[in-house]
Amino acid sequence: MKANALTELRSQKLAGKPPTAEAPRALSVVPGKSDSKSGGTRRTTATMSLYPADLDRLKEIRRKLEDHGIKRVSDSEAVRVALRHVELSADELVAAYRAMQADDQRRKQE
Amino acid sequence: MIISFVNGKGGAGKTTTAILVAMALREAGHAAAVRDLDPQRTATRWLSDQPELLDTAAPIQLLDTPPRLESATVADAIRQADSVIVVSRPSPCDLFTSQDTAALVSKLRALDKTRLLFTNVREKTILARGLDQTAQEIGIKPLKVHLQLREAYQHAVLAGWKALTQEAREEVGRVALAIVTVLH
Ligand SMILES: Nc1ncnc2c1ncn2[C@@H]1O[C@H](COP(=O)(O)OP(=O)(O)O)[C@@H](O)[C@H]1O
Ligand SMILES: [Mg+2]
Repeated sequence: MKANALTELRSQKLAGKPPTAEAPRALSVVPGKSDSKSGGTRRTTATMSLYPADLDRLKEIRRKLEDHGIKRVSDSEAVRVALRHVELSADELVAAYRAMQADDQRRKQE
Repeated sequence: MIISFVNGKGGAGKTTTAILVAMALREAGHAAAVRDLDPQRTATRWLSDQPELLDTAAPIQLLDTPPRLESATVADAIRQADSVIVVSRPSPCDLFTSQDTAALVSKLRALDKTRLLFTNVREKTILARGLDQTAQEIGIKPLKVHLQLREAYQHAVLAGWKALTQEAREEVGRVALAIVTVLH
């Protein structure tokens, strides 16, 4: 056993490996005009800023669906699947929101 | 740098361990803090007198996760981390949840930066002697060091590093060192 772990811990270079900076990338969910009709129901066009982690998540949703034979899922469809699927539990939502805010803050500080 | 502390069971020692490791890292001059992802907000409450340990801007973030393996928060914490620490008590009753936790981690990422950390260990008991065997059953490589069951740890999460004896400080220091060494 080491005589003094804290001394050794002090000499560790940790700052050299900060969390990977994520550049924001905008994803245009539906390119083109705003409000339009689709099969008689109202559809709203939205443009949102997503980060690589979000895009990875969308890709994962698409991949999961593809594994089950559902091909060519669009970005909007993937977002809509996520919205339908999300558990509307206050605890989960608040925790997820906090984690997201903390990530955003961290990104800003970099 | 992100290190996530996980186990599907409440009471495994995630929050206590994350706080102790953050304290040791800070004692050693590293800007570490705990990020409380548990909706019960145990860490946030315990650390009300030590707000610097909750600094969300610290470059080293130790994620304290909720005891729910089906939660998306836990999955994200496992995926985002540079290293995942599965925190477990050595008791046979905790074995099953630790195995479930191990299964979840290996579903979500490679295990090379994942380690098992035993806590609440009572030295010289049969359970303490069987740690290697228990680790094998859980299926995650154990750190070579563990945290003993110490009342001082329960005080320290509220009162800070000064509540620890020299021996306890040394123990937490060894654990923190072992955890950051995994990242090299
Ligand atoms: N090494 C330890 N020695 C003594 N008590 C501990 C230790 N680790 C955790 N505890 C105690 O066990 C209980 C559960 O620990 P906690 O960190 O809240 O677990 P979790 O976050 O996994 O639910 C708490 O009362 C805590 O004070
Ligand atoms: Mg906890």
